Amino acid sequence: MNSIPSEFTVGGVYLPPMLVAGCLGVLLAYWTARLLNRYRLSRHFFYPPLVFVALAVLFTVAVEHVLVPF
Amino acid sequence: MSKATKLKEAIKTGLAFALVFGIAMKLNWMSPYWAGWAVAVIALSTAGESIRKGMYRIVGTIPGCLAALAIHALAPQERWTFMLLTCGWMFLTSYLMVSRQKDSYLWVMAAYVCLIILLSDLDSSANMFESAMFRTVETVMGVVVYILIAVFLWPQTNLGAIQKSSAELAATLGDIFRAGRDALLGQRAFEVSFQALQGKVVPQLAQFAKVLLAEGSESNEVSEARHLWERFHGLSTALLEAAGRWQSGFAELDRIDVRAVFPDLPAFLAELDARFAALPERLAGRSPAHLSRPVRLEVDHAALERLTPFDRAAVEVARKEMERLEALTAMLLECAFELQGHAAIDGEAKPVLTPGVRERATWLPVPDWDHLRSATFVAATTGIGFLIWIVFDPPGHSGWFQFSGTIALLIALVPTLRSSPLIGLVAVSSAICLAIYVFVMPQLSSFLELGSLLFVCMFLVCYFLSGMARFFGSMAILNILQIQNHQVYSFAAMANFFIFLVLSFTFIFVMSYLLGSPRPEKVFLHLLGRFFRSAEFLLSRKELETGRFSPLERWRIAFHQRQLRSLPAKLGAWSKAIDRKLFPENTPEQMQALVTSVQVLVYRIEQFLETGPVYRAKPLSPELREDVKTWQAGIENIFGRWSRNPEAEPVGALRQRLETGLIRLEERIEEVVNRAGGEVSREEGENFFQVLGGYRGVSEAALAYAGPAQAIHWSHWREERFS
Repeated sequence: MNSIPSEFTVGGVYLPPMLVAGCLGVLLAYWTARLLNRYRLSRHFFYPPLVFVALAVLFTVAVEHVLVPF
Repeated sequence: MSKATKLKEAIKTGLAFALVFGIAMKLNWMSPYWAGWAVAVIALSTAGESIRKGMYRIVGTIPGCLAALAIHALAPQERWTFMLLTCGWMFLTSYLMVSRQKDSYLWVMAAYVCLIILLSDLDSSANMFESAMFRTVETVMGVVVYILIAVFLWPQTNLGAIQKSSAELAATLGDIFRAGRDALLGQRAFEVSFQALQGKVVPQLAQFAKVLLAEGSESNEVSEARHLWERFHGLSTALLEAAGRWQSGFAELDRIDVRAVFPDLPAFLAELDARFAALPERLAGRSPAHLSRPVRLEVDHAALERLTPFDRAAVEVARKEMERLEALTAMLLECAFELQGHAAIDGEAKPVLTPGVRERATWLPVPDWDHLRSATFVAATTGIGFLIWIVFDPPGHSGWFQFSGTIALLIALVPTLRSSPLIGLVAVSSAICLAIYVFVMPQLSSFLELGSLLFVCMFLVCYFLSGMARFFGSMAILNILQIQNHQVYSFAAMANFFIFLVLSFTFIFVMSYLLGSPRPEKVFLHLLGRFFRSAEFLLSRKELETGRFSPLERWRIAFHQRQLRSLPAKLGAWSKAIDRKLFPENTPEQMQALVTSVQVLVYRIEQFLETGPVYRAKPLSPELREDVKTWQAGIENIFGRWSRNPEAEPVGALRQRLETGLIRLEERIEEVVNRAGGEVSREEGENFFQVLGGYRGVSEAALAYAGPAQAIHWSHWREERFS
């Protein structure tokens, strides 16, 4: 079984899958944080900066599972 | 700035930018972009400002180079010593950068250049001296080229600006005095007009300081009289403060017939008015005949005896403040007289009056807490950046040490600047430059083409962007295009550099949490807490008897006095940084009222602290010792509670408590005076009434704070949110 993730290619330039997943993960975490701020739901967190890091990691893992081909 | 001027300035900067690259490349100098940086940074709106900044850039480069050479000599192979020495240098220079407004940029350069030179050649230290020399030479060349272009091509001069600026400042100070005079005589409400005029005069003072530096660089005449202009600036600042203190006591004078108590008041105010009218004329070079004549504000003792003890105290405080105003206006007029080229009236040179610096009771240095925090932030970011580089070595490599430290300097210099929006700004400007690097630069084959590209890039940045956006636009051009004498193209290197830029700003954003939340409302709450802790401490150390404090105690008093004086301005700056969209329930007017009430508290606490020891006057003092002590303990208690919770004291309950205390004390004074058969002489009572006025002033100012504080939705501010 091949467990090595494949690179993304844009115009012949190979990009590491972790970079793409990481960027998308941070963007998704950013939009989620904005939504939580907008509806004042972020006040329920003890320390939002750590929640943001956790969200970014979760989204990165999720994106990698969904988008990155093996 | 008009569109035509903007166009001319953008052309000048673009031309200088292309030219310095041409010179550096023609002479085969190391890293031509160092000269480009000098042009990008010193390109300001007038020649004087550019000359000044250029001089600081050159002068700051020298200690930076020397420090780098010394650090490398002391720790060539010891990474921890190397890191500690560099962080120590960064701490020192960034502390000086934030604490010395006048030559702040010099210290920015001393810090930044040290980092550049330390990492100029990672493989060997053999070329370090050469790098330091090239850095200095190219900086000088960049500065000289830009200054020559700024002076000869469409020059924007500052000549005459200082006279205009000083005359405007003097006119506004006169307006402030006249607004106060009218309010004192019951002709109009002073508070509102004072706030508006203060809002006008504070930028005028900043503009005056800027113009003085700029025109001082252009004109020999201004440069020679610099000490007098600096004295004028210091006196104007002191006068603004004195007017603030004067007006803060008007509420207590409401019930008093001031004309009866001060029979000479009309003549006294008329003389001050004449001085203010003469000041702009004299500064503009039209010397009027008016010379200040000494005036005194005598009190009618018969009218004074008829007043209640607290009203007598208010009169004492007002008299002292008006005498201070009189002394300051006389000094201002004399300073303007000397500026016209006349010798000092008493033949002696006067010292420069530095605002905010008072005679201190300690010889030890008294640091500013926020400046220490900023310096710690810069040193810690540099140190952690170094660790990231040597432990993980991510894309960007040594840039984590050098670049992160440099951006941390920028954040420390402008603490209200939010680092999160910078990430997007850097990402976009760097992406555009990356596209130019990939698609345009490989097509170029001569300097004419490269020079045209550099000119166009810099022109577009200078014409369309301003402030931080312009700085980051220039940074992207210089860092991403990476122009060298032997040009090589590497997409991977530049793509990695792009990722590094975005990651390093994210790192700075994370680091900004190191010393507490960077959210403006949280910082405001934190500063307010510190303000009341300092106020509580200072009141608790008010000398109740004549006694001596230990050196440590004197240092602590000086430290908290500095805190108290500096915090209202910081609160004002942070209140403007709070996002109105997130807190729509608090209007800018409410925020301004809160900051103003904090400033009034400072004035009243200072007035109180300036009074002598409480228990000298007999028979009042010994008899009222316990009452005054109880009152002081009550005020300290309120400040202590406000330091933990700014809304802890509802205004209604507080007013009732303070008024009850005032009435009780007034009754006790009457009782003591009656028991002594009315034998309290003026000399004996004056000191006591000043102290009493101080207490009352602090109480009234505390009440004035409680009102606006109640209107703020503090609970919403305390809520957690993503920044």
